[in-house]
Amino acid sequence: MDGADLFLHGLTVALQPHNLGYIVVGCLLGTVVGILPGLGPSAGMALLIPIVFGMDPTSALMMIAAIYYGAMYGGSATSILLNTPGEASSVMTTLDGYQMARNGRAGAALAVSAIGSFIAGTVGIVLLSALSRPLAQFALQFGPPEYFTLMVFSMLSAASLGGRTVARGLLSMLIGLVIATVGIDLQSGMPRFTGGFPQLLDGVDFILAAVGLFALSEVFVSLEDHFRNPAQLIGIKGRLWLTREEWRRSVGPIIRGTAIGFVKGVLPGGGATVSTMLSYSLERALSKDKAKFGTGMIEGVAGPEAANNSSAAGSMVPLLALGLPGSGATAVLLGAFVILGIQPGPLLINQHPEVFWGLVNSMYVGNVVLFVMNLPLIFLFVQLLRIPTGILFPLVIAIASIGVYAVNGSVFDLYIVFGFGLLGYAFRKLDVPTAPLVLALVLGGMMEQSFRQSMTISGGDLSIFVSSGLAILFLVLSVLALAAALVVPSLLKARGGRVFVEEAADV
Amino acid sequence: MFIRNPLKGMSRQAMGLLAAAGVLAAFSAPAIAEGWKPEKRVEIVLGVSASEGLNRNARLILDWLVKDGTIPPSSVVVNKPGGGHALALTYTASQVGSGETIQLVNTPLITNNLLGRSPITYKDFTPIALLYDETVVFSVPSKSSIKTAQDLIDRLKQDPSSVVFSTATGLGTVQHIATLALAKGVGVDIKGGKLKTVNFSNGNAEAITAALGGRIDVVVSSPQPVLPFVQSGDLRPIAVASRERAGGFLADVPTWKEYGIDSVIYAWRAIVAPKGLTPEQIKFWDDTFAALVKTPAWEEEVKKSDLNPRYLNSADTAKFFENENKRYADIYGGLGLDVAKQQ
Repeated sequence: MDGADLFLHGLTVALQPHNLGYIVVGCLLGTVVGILPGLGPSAGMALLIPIVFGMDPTSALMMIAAIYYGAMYGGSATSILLNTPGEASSVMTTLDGYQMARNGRAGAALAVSAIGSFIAGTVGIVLLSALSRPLAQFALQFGPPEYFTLMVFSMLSAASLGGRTVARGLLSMLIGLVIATVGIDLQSGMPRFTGGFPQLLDGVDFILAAVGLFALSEVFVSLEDHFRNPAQLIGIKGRLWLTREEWRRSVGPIIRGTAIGFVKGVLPGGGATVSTMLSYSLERALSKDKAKFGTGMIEGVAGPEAANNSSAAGSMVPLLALGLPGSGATAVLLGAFVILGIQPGPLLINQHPEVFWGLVNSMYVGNVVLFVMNLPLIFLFVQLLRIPTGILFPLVIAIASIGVYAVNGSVFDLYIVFGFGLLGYAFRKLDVPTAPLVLALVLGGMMEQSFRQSMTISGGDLSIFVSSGLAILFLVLSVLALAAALVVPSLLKARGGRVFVEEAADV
Repeated sequence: MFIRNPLKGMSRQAMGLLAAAGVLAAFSAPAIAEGWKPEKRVEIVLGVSASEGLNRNARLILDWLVKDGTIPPSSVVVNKPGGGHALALTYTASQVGSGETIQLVNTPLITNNLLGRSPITYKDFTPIALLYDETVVFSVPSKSSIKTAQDLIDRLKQDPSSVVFSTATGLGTVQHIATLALAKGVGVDIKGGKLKTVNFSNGNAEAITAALGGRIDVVVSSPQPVLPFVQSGDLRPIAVASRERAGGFLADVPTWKEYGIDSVIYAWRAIVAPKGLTPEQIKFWDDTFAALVKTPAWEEEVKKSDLNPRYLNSADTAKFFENENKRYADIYGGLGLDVAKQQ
């Protein structure tokens, strides 16, 4: 059979009634996993593995993969409506999505997430099925030095999210980096800053920080507001759907987000979350209204939401073509393969074509299922905004606690979330932005490890970071990002041109 | 299928007796029940997440024992990932006297404590069985200028810093020890910082990616993760750290011993239970695993996964742990890794 035959055969496999059923179930579960804060796609898939043990591998993998990309759709809902990222790659969505909801545009934010996700997901899968082999070879060029320079670039891009002053942003980021050092140090094998708690040996999961800093602190702050002057409910202004103007503004971010997400997905490290950060930073850099980011810009929702979906498709490239997962979620998927008795590797496509093509085609089907499923959900979700504060906040805390607890069954994790909630409350009162802390926590660990891996490989010679074209490229981009953040505003000021007041960007 | 537990009927009888004799009699139950059998759901505790290879073994054990009626159908595998099995070990050790909790564990049972990561030692558990061990294999990318074990030895002698090893997920792992032992055997000053060993958080997958991309020269791992890449011709196994040559796809791969290098180490898997079990409870689990490892299904799985069968019963496993603890302490001391002592 040649390529086209195999592809069509895969489609018929994916469309068999029982497989279709598994895809729908997987999409539903994925949406739930995405919505539950704390419970991300990795944990969601891991929880399902025991259930599929002994099932037909193709069907089982279709269902588990559906949880992965389904979570990318679901994660946006709570980010937008409750300022609670449903999973890691929705952290960026909270920045402008929640503000959109507060401006009465929750429906539009949800709609653009669904549309962006669908477009990005579908484009990502087309690229996956057409180009997986050559792209996977490209991903192999990515060693520790490239990894490190990419992290530097991501970190500098994220620094632009500083908020009111650079110093406040840096403070938040540094605290994040400090927290990122907790746990067993990979290169020496020694526990660091664990205070004797075995639960901290693996470090502090940044999703715990995200749920605490975003969701709980939001609850605390709103509670205070509520007692001071009972808030009116956020209504919906204008149409529930996107306006023509909003759609026009979203097309570019969706296209760029799709591209960034897919490329980042193919490359190892950070997965979907880093791609959303890069997409958000890019949209902010390209926008004429930089200062308005963080106040409900639809570009800041459309780009990252597209990026996390195409990133999910992109991350399947090295997994399926080489058997080498580049992210936490695909590592779990690799585990699912192994547990179902299939060892993925460079020969997967030849040895198990029905698994490969069945899985790829199930993703096309799953994307359509998710899109169709999510549109009516928007109408349902926006009703959440009608729930009175007294019921909504306990609900947020309950949902967040369930999600966090489900991952490890650990009460300790709940204490950590609560601690971050208090920290987030203090941050807000002191006007320190919380996003840099979470992003530093995501990037810090990986950055340190890849730096030290590079140093071991080179024997302490820093020139390893300019030893490959890719590494140099990321370093140049880093310098440009830094220049854009520092030099451009002062140049504008010197010329007396229009200067956007950075303060307005603060949330 | 495989275990026809002769004590099954006895147990019911015992239960009947107990019920008739009332609550007070229950306290003297051990005297009556010479055959014990779990009546509540059994928890097979696992220190890794459901997505890791070890999980497959735990699920299979659960499946087989439930189908056979040895343990109640409500039994479960409990994944408690974290801290390199540390959280799961803490949990199991706390279930003192529970015959319904067993844990599938590997070398961290001993190494965690020796490396100063955990106060829990192998002595906090009742050893039930040693099940199997895994070969430690050294692989190189096919396009590498290192073609054979001898090439690697020569390179290490010439310039140890020209070879970069990946040794799975951390210092003190069996892969790390095998590498250090190789370097020591070749005559490299392992405390001099010349030897380059890199650790990856995702373990083998990241290491293999880095090797195929030319950043890592030698991947030190268990056989399963490298098998697909050996089949595709991307990686070449050059040596194993075993007593004798391994089977399967490693049948033609020499041992370090053949080159006169004392790098012999295995990654083993064992079953432990909490302390405070009655002799009947220990006997139940001892018999259960003795029978399990003789079943064709078990043997087939061991063969398929390139594992080495290495069954030991409860008493022998206890001795084995004691020996391993001493051996690892010596190895760590000899390699400059005796962290526990430094603290």
